[in-house]
Amino acid sequence: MEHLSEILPKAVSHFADCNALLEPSGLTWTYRQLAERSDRLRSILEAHALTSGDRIGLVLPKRADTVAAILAILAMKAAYIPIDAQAPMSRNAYILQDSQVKAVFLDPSLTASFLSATTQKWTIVASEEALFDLLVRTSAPEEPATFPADLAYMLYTSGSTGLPKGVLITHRNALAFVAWSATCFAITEKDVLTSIAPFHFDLSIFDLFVGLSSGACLVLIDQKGAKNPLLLSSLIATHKVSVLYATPTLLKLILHYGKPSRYDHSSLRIVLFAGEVFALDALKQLKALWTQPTFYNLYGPTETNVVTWQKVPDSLDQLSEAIPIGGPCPFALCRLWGLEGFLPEVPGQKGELIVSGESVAQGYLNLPEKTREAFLHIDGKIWYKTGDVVAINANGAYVFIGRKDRMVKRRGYRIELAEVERALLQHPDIHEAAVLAVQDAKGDIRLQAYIHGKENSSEMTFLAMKMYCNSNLPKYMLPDSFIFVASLPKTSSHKVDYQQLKKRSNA
Amino acid sequence: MDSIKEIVKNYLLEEFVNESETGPVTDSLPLLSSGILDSISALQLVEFLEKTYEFEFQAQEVDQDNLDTLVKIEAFVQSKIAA
Repeated sequence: MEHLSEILPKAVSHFADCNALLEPSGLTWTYRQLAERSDRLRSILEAHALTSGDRIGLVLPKRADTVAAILAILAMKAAYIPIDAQAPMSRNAYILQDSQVKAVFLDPSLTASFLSATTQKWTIVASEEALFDLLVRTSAPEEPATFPADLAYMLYTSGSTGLPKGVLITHRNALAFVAWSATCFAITEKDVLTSIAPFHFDLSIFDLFVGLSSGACLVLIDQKGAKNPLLLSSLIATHKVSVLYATPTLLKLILHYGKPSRYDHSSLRIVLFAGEVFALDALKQLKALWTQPTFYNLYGPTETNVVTWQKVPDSLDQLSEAIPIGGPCPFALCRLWGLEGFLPEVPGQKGELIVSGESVAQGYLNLPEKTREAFLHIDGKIWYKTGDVVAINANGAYVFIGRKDRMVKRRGYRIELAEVERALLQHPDIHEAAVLAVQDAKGDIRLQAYIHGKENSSEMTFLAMKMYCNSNLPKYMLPDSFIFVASLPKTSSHKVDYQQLKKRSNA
Repeated sequence: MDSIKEIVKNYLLEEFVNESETGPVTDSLPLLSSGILDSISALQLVEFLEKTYEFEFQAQEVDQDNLDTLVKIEAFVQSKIAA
């Protein structure tokens, strides 16, 4: 297989009458119905002169029709740009402009706010009540960018410049991971998968394409449902879910708040987790609760998708530290990187994980400097510097140690603290802002915002700040606390002294 | 006896809310939509309500519509106890 668009026709030829998608509302589509809807959406797109090589945005809630739209875009050899329908429209309008989409599917409730946030010219060319408005851009992009010829999708991640950055993923990149996982986890038409991660998050690539390429049924869970452990717990039981892929944060929520003893979860065959470290205690509790499935830890940033994996041992009694991120998937090359170049791959060695292979993205859109810094060309290969510091343990597996920079992971999401700072600095009354990530007693990451208000500014309060951030940042980036200060400590080069702030925060 | 609103307010003040940051917790102060309570705090609140008032939330009832303000929480709890 060379193209993600081959997945659906192939599945239809084998599994036409099997269930492909299921919404908790009760809606169920077979593969045949999914293909019919996808063909219909494709003909709408083509009727408006959209064609191969275009990019098409999706700002839609998660439902069956959204999957059909993604497959329609791929079928016409265009690329899809999935966008968080719940994020502030200013951020979304930026992403749609940066990615130079030619058209966008919008949730009809968002069309008006998009049209007032965008500086480009758009025309509504098609609408389906309650499902979508399709808008086509009628003004040319300011500076046309170049895109890889076989671009499949772009995912936007938090950027250290304060603006989200677009990761360019080709069909070949995506399929390297998809083909391997379908085989490795032996997914078949008998499996029921969950789609918990939103489509703008890279965990969704597994859910969407591994499931569909194997004839499995996918239970679509929207963002509200993905925060409701009780609902997830009941859905696993009702739909006899066999493969569950989620962040450790969410699995812990199911464990603590999903009343798992009330429900029958014996259908679970495989539990995959990724996005952050799974604290050993919580993993032990979950394994004691779910004794039948096999657990795997998957690791990889958006820029490479999953590149290392580790099967969780049946018994965790002997372990004293968290499950390693493991060893490389067969399509990936992993090495340790230091100031002088590659480091020896020996137990005890520590370094930055650097990754090459078929799944490595083509770089960041419109950010040549960032791309050069992160994607190194060595001996004819492209190596992505993950920024993750890892060590090699006695068994030769990689163990995650921490980050090299100011990026943190919270509930599995990447957050560049600079992006939160940039949003704060756009507040008219804020003179300076610095954001720290601190671990609380439970090991959860909390964001502390230090704020230096402008002179004569109106009174700034916790509530006003929360509300302001709520309308300017995605939910997972909201600071937990706001500390109002008369000035921020500075280094000799007049930059914010984060070390001093950390000391202050610990005091 | 304390009203449901007062009991819930005391719980929130003990566990999650610092009035010197948020200002006074009034009956209509938005708790979830404002971001004062994050999704995990909301789940702890659900657990507290279930234990205190001896009823069980159905999956779809764990929702902002039922939990956003003290007024809404009280109305929801009353409807559950009465049922």
